[in-house]
Amino acid sequence: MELEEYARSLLPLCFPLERDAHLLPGFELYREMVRARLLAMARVAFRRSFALLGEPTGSASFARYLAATPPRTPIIRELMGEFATHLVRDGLALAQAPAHAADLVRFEAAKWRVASASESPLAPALGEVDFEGELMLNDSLELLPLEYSVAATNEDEAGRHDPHTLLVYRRRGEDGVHWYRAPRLLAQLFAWVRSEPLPLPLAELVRRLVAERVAERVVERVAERVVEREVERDPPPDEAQLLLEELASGLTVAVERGVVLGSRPLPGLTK
Amino acid sequence: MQQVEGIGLGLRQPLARELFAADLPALRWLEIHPENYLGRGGQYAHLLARARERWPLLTHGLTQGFGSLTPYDPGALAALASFVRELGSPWHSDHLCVASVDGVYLHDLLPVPFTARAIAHIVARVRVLSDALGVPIAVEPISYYAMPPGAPASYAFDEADKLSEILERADARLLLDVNNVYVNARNHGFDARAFIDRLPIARVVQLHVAGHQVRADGFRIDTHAEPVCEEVYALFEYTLRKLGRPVPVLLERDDRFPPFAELAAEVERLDRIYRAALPETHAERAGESLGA
Repeated sequence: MELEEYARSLLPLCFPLERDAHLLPGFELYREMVRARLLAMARVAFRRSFALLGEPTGSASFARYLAATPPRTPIIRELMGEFATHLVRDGLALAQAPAHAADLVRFEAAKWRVASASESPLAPALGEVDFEGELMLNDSLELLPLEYSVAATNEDEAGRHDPHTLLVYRRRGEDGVHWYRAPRLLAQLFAWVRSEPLPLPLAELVRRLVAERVAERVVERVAERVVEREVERDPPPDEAQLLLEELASGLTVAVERGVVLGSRPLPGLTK
Repeated sequence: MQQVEGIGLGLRQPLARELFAADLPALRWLEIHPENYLGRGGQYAHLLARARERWPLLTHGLTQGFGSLTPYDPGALAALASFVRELGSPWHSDHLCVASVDGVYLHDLLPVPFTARAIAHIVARVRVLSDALGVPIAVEPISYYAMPPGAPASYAFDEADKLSEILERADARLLLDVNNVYVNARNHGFDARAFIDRLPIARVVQLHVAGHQVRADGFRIDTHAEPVCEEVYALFEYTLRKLGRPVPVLLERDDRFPPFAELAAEVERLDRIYRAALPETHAERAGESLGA
């Protein structure tokens, strides 16, 4: 048998859902070894998820993942992200699972990725946060929107419905993975920093954010008062002050925790 | 070119703390799997940085597989070339196997047929990799648990003979894994020493020594998770005496790590065999330590 025909016959061997009639005789051991190797890593990466779903359910989902999307990366650790994407959509696996199972998978996948995330060299070293510059976020940072408190170590608490955004990151030069809840305003700001196609001054993003939030609150209050037929009402809290406090403390904490690294001048601009 | 010889270990995260704290003069170099370090920050980047300060490093790939049917990715090759160059590895090694097919990675090492077309394909892949990395390639024949369909009964010695042709045409080197030879010999019923006698020994640049699992039915699995057995130690000594010159020798341990003292004892035993088999190397090293 020539190399091409032989090599292509290995694919259904290694990644079938069930034993196939045309399995190469004698190669069953390879099927078991490939699956065992990859599944062992999944059990480590998704320890709590496998415990929550049950080992048979987790393993069965992994087998379905391999059959549906055999590994397309030579980097074995990257497969865990692919498996997570599959698992959160795997109705068979989640049908009997607690409501927070999918969020738990997402959380464990984020921790796995962050643990190995690369660090880009920064030259020169970034300075303080400069509102006229581009805000620089930690390379490893992941913004994780969640419906449930799955980051809690207590499994009862993990199932509490509590929508929030979790920041998952690794401090530059260190090994441990950290996470904490981001204030809503900060999560929105960081999402914009990441998604803007061109770098923008931080001040521009903050102005946009504040305008959007104030407008949102104005619409809410007008709607409330119209519905309640309130002609007069006590003065509302100073929205600008609230936003200032939330953003200032949020950014300060982010700097202290190494989530925000500093700022760099925008292209074409010098101080 | 950096001279690397004597006994080495693979840089593995579970071993790292004790490895860096150990006083083990017999340990002369470390092996690095680029797939575990490329593009990776955090503790792996730190491990690599510390290892570079202390030992010469040799790179050993896991996923290129010279019998594979996935074209090389230019970006990945460039990254690997930069990595190998940065570490100063005098050669790069990977396996004589099928590791991927049409972009699907098997994450294991499967045997290749030794047809003329397959050999041409293998030679071409070795050459492309060598050109891209700018260093010689060392090819490692694998342990295999079944033979490709249609393979002759003499598959093992076919491999030994065809290996000479492959290495000659590709201008490549040989990474000889003594445990692979032993496992294959026991599983498929041939003489391990006779197999080694047929190899192009002049092209050997590196040896691997490892442990394997013996199943209840006597079948052997190349796990790298057990101590080296006496027969493999003996085969290692046989190979080294046949080789007659210094080479780097890896103690390949990848799983179920024992207490570090046990691993160190294996390193030291390999080193004793190495120095006894190559007394000139020992004399040179003694001369170095005396400042001669």
